[in-house]
Amino acid sequence: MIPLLGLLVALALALTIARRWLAHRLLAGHPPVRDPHPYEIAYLTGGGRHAVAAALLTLRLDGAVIAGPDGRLTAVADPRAATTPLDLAVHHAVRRAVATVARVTADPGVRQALEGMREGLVQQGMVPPPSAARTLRSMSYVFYGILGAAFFVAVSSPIGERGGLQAILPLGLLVALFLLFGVLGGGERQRTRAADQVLEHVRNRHSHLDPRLAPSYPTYGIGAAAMGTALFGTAALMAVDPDFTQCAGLGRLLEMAGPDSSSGGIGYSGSSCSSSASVCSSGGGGGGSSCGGGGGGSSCGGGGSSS
Amino acid sequence: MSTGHMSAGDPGGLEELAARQEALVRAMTAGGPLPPGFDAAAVRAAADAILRKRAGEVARAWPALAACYGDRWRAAFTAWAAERPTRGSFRDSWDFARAHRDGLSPAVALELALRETRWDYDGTGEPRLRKAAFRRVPGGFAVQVRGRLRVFGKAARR
Amino acid sequence: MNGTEGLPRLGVGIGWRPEIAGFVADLPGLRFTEVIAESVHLAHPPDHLLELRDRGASVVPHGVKLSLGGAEPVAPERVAHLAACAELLGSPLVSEHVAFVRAGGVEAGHLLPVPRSRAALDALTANIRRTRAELPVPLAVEPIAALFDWPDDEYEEGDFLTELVERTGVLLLLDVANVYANARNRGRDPVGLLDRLPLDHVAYCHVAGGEEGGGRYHDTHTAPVPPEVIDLVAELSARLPDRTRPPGFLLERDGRYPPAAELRAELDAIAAASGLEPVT
Repeated sequence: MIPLLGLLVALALALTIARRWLAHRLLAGHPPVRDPHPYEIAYLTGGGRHAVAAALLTLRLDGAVIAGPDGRLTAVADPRAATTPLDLAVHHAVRRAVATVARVTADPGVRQALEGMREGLVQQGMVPPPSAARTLRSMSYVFYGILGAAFFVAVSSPIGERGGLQAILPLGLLVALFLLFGVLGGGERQRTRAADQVLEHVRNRHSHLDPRLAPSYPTYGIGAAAMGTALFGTAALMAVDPDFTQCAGLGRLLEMAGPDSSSGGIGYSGSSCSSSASVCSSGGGGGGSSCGGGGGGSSCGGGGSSS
Repeated sequence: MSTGHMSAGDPGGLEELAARQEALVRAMTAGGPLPPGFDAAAVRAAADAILRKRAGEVARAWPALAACYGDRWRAAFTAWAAERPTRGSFRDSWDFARAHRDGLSPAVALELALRETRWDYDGTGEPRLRKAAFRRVPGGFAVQVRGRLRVFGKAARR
Repeated sequence: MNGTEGLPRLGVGIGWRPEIAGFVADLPGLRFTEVIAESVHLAHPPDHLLELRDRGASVVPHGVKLSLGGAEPVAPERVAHLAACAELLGSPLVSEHVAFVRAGGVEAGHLLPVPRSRAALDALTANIRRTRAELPVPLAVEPIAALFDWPDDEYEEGDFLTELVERTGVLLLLDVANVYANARNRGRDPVGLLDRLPLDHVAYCHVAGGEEGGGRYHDTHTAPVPPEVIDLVAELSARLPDRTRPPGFLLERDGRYPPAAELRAELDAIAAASGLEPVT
C-alpha cells in the first residue's frame, strides 16, 4: 500500500511543478505591438464591466448618453468622438429599450464587442488564450483526482497495529501537497505578466491622472477621462462627472468588477443626482459641447434623494 | 522720498498699524465693526470674495461634503463661515461638517465618523492623529491602529 | 545694479498646479514655472515638479501666507519653509506679496492690502530684511490686486513701491492683471501706473484672468485672460528697460481649468505680446 501512496504523492508533486512551469509560460504574454486603447486598459484592470463603465462615461462626455435619477440611461444623440466598436455597441444597447448599466452590460451586442476586445487582447499578448486556461484547469482536475486517490489509499490502509502518529502522517502529507499546489500551482489569471508591465507603464505615463492630484479633465480631454477611469476606477469617475456616475450607478458596477476597479474607496459618494452643474465644467474636449443634451448642465434633471 | 529718518523705524507706528490691521481683519472675517473711513461696500465685496474662495477650497478639501449640498454649497458654507475666520480648509471642512451633522448624506456622515476615528480633534486645537481608536460609526464600527483603519459591518461595504 | 543680473532667462511660464501637472509637463519649450510654496510638502514633493526641475526649468516658490506686510514679524518657520523650497527646487529666486494675511492671530484667508503709509513701509522693510536674511536666493515681492484702499494712504501706489524698492533693493514681481484690476476698480489708467513703477527691478511678471462681479473686477485666476490684460503685457514690454535678460511672464490659473488648447493659446498670446519665444 505504501509504495502506491508514494507513487501517487510523487505524481502529484510532479504535476504541481509541471503546472507551475506551464502556467509561467502560458501566462507570460508578450509586449503588445500597439498602445492599448483606454477601454482595453480598463478591461485589463477590471474586466468587461470596467470597460463598459469607461465607455459609458465617454459617451456621456461625447454628449450621446445621459442618466436619469432612477438610474435609467437615455441616448440623446449619436456619438461623434466615441466610435470604437464598444462605444457603438453600448450606445446601441442604451438606445434599444429601458436601459440600465446592468442591462447594458448583459446586452448581447455589448458582450460581443467585449469578446472582440478580449480576442484582440489575446493577440496582443495581454490576456492568456482560452486554451491556456483550459489546459491549466484540466491539469488541476487531474491533480485533484490523484490527490483523491491518494487520500483513498491512505485511509483504507490497515492502521490498527500502527501508532496514531503514523496514521496521521500520510494525511498531513496530502494536506501539505494540497496547500503547496495552491501556492505554487499558479492560479488562473485574467491577464498576462506582460499586461502587468504594460499597466505599470501606462500608470506611470498617466500619473497626472492620479485622483489625488484632482486632475482637470476639461484640460486633458475625453480620452484622458476614459484612461483615468481605466486606471483609477470610481475615484476618476467621480472626479469627471459625479452626477452621471451616481445616477447611472457606475460605482456599483465597478465594485462588482473587482477590487482593482473600485479604488478610491469610500471617499467619494455624496448625495446622488443633486442637480449641480459640475458636469458642464467637467466636460472633455470636443469643442466644449460635452453638455450637449444634458438638460441645463445636469445629467440627472433634478431629484434630490441621497445615497 | 527720504530714507534716512525711517531706518530706525517707529515702534509706535508699528503698534498702531498692528491694531488697525487686526481691526480690519476682524471686521472682514469675524463680524467685528468696520473701522471708520473705509468704503464699506468695497470691504464687504472683498470679504465676500474671500468667503467664496474659502467655499471653493473647502469643497476641494472634502468634495463629498460639498456634494451633499449641490448647488447650495456656496450659500450654505458662506453663511456658516461669515463670522468664522479660516483655520485652514481641512479644519474648516471638519468644523462645518460637525455643525451640520443633520444635513449630511449617510456616506459623508460615515466619512466624518471615520475621520474622527483617525484624528483626535477637540474643535479648538490642532487635530492630532490617534495612536489607536475603536468607534461606533453609522452602520458598523471602525478600528484604527497606528493609522491603519478597518471598518466592520454594513458600513464596510460602502 | 538692480538685483536682476543673476537671474536666468525665464521666458514664458505657467504656474504649476497638481490639477494640470500633465499639461505643464507636456509643454515642450517650458523653462519657467512657479509653485505655491505652502503647497509643497518637503518630505514628499510632487514628482512632476521634480521632473521639471531636472529638465532644467526654473521653479519659483511663490509664498502666499508669509504676511510680509503685517505689523508683526514674519514667522521664522514660514521663512524657513520658503528657503527649504528654494533649496529643494534649485530655484533662482522666491516670491511673496506686498500684503498681510493675518493680524492678532486672526487669519484673513486671503491677501489684504497694507495702508500706503510710513508705518507700513517700516513693517515691510523689516519683514523683507528678516526674510532675505534666511533665503539662499533673491526675493521678489508682488503688489496685489485690492478691492479697497485704506482711508488715509500717504502715498500713490507707484510712489509707495518705488520707496519700498529704494529702501530694500527688493525685486518686484509685477502682476499685470493686478495692475489692470486696480486701475479698472479705481477708474484710473493702468498704463499711467506702469510709468511710475521702478521697472528695472522687475524680476518677472504674472498674467491672469478675472471676472466682473457686482460692478467690480475680481482677479480670480479662474477665467480667461482678458484682451485688455494681454494689451497691457505689450505696453509693459515696450516700457521695460533694455537688459540682457528680459523678465519672464507667467500665466496664473487657479481653477476652472479650460481645455489644453485654450491654455496653449493664452501662453502663445503672452509670448506674442511680450516678444518672448513661445513655449507650446
